[in-house]
Amino acid sequence: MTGEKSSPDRPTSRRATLVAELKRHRNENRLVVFLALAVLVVWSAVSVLRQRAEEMEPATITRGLLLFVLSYLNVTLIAAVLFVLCRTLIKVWLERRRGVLGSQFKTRLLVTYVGLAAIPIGLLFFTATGFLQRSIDRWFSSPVREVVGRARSVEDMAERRIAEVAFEAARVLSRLPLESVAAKRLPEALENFRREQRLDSAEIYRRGVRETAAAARTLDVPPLPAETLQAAQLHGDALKIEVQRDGSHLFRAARRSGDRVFAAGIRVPPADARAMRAIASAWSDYQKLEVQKPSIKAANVSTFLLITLAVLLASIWTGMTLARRITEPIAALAESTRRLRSGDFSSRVDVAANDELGVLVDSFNSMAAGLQQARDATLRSNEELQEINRRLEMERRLLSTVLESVTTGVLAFDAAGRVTVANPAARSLLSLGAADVTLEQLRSRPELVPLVSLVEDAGSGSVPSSPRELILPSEAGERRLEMALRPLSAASERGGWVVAVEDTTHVAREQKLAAWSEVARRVAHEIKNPLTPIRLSAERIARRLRAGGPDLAETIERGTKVIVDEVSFLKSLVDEFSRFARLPEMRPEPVDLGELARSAVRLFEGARDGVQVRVESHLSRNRVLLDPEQMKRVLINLIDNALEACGPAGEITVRLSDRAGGVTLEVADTGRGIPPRDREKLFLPDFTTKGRGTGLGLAIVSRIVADHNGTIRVEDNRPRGARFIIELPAA
Amino acid sequence: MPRLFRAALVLCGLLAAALAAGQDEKGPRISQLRVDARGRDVFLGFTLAGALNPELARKIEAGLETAIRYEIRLYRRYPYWFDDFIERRKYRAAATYDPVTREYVVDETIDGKPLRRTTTRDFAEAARLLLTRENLLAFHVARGQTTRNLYVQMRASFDAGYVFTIIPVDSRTDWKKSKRFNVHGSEK
Repeated sequence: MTGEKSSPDRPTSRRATLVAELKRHRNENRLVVFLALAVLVVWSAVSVLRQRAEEMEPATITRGLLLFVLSYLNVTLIAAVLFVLCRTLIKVWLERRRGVLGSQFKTRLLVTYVGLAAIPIGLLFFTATGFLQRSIDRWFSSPVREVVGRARSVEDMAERRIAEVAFEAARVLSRLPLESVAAKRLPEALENFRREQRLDSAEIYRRGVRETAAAARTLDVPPLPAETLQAAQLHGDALKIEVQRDGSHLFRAARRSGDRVFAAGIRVPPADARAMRAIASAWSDYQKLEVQKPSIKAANVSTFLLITLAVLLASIWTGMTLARRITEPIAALAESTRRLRSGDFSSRVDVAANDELGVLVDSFNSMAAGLQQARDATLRSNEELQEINRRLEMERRLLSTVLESVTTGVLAFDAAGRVTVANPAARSLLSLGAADVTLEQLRSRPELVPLVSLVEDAGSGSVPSSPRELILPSEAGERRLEMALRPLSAASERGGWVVAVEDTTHVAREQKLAAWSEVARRVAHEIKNPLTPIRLSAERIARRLRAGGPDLAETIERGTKVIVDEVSFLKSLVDEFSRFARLPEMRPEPVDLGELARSAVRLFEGARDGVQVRVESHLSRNRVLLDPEQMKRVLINLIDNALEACGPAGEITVRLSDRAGGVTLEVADTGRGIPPRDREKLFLPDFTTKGRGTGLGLAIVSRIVADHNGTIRVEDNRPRGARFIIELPAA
Repeated sequence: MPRLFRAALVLCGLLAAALAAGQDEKGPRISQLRVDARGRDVFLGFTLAGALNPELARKIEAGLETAIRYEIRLYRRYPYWFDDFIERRKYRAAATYDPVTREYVVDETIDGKPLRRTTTRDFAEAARLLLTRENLLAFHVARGQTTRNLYVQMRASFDAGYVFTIIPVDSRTDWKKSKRFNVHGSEK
């Protein structure tokens, strides 16, 4: 039983385990894919970053790197947003097409959520970026550019003037008659020239090599670079601006003259040089910023875009999560409902929810559990019913076999009086055909009237407690059957009765033989009893006659009287037996049964002071076909017996009533009653409870009733006494 | 679904058209690539044309470091099979302007190692140094390496602006192939 009960649950639990396993695998796969994508993104970012960083100068790396990282993150986020959005939309679309429960709600929720998030975010993004771009453009507005440009022009002008002075000095130097100066005195001459011209340095180069140089003590004047000398050789002059260690600027103007290059240097003091450097730096920074304006805009737009996309992604994700949290339990409920409908009562909703949906899920699971328990109980009941049916079938077969094989006839009637069962023995005993038996068939046969009466009485609520006799004519004379009726189970809704028909011909015959044997014995006994006083009286008379005496006449008279009395008794005894043996032929005629009963009762009026005898007639018909003399004898016999049973006080009622197909005559007394053990022998010829009697009274009554095709039975009277019931047919 | 498919097709078509429009014939390209094999040394001379647009010039003049990256590859040519890649070099020329000294400094590196530094006050000269190079010792064919049916291909890349104002992109020329050449001479 347990195994059978658990077997349907096993595939369901296995399926649930598989589903959980699949979910776990899917989550693991998602995690793996997510990690792989993250690694790919980071790896590609690092690779590209390294490649770009190699090619960038430290000064520019920061902004470029920042821009690159921002753009990379933006592209990644755009891809992620698009992917998530497309995936979500496709999923929702597919779910709507498949008609998945909750898809419409999910779509609505998602669209609402994304719309509510995207519209303000988009507006904010476009407003903020527009404002920022205008601000950046304002930074690079004309006044600023003009100020920076003019400052640079001033610086240019100052530098040009210094350069012009230096070039002029170099030109003057190149025209000095230095060929006439001895090589030893050339440095001194150059130093003098420097002092005269108020130069900070003066140099002479021949074929790219410095011949001599003169410079202020504080100055570090390295030889001019080759590019400068080459430029001077190529273009006639060249300028080199150098930043000294003390922050001062050294303007060195080189001029070619012949195979020589003459350079004159003018030093700008640190304070002035610092101002010039500041202007140059400011100009340079401004130029750089202006060049980088698209980059700056891009960086800012990227930053805003990054935030926007992050918020959008978060809102989509949140919307999806919210929609999923709501729709998943609904879908799970729908799926479980479908499974319940298809008969899978082990279906449960396994969704974690703490809100009202959680309550709904719990309620559903409780309901499913209840249904499963009810189903299990029904299955168990069904199995028990099947077992009971199997047993019933076995019992039915057994009963059928028994009914087929027993010699007792069995007839079953339903509550409406229809014959439902008639076993072969019943069909044989009652001479019924093989066709279905009906009550009408039974009623159409006069000899079966007692059987019909028995069933109809049971239908009217009068169930006999003792068997009734049915006598059927047969080839061998008559067949005596005994009918016992028992109601079918009181608990049965259909109700009905079963009548067992026993062939008691053989038993009756034996009983009759035994009764006659008893009769002979009793007759012998009864005859023997008077014989003794007769013999004694005769012997006494004879003895007195021989002896003589004065009391002879008295003795003869007394003895003769005894002999005559005993002979009279013997004669009455013989007459009684003769009457029983030879009852007069029945002469039925329509008789007023009520009047007949009253005439019988009148014979007992005043018979005993303490006993009341009365007649109750409930007959609707006036006359009944019967032999009035014999029926009156029956009544007298029964009333006499009742009077005997009542003793000094009591009540005797003769009750007449209609019944289906006839009348009922009932003699009830409040006497001592008849014990059940005596009821079977009550109508036998030898039975008597009186101290002195032939025991033929009730046997004669039974015989007369049988001659009228009626039945007689005895039952207990309530509250006490006995009740003799005679049922007679109407015609 | 068909409507979505059609929309995707139209989008792809527009994208392809945009990409095709971007392939300007007058865009940056390696206009000349000369190979001079001296012994086992391979010297290159090349010119990058169409790269010095106003944006790049402005960037140089503003003092931002402006670099042009050249990728040079040496192959062995097979007539009926895939060419055999032998070696690769990365040559880079970067110009920086000093607003104080008013000089352009052009630094050249090959495979990240300094090759040459040139200072000039002339922007044209600085641009020329970025875009043109002669006698660049690119490869040395070692003993045991293939010496016949060799060729060099190179391309240049440099910052070219932004896509959708946020994505910095590089401008890259097509590969330029040299004529085939052989190297001779013994290993030093």
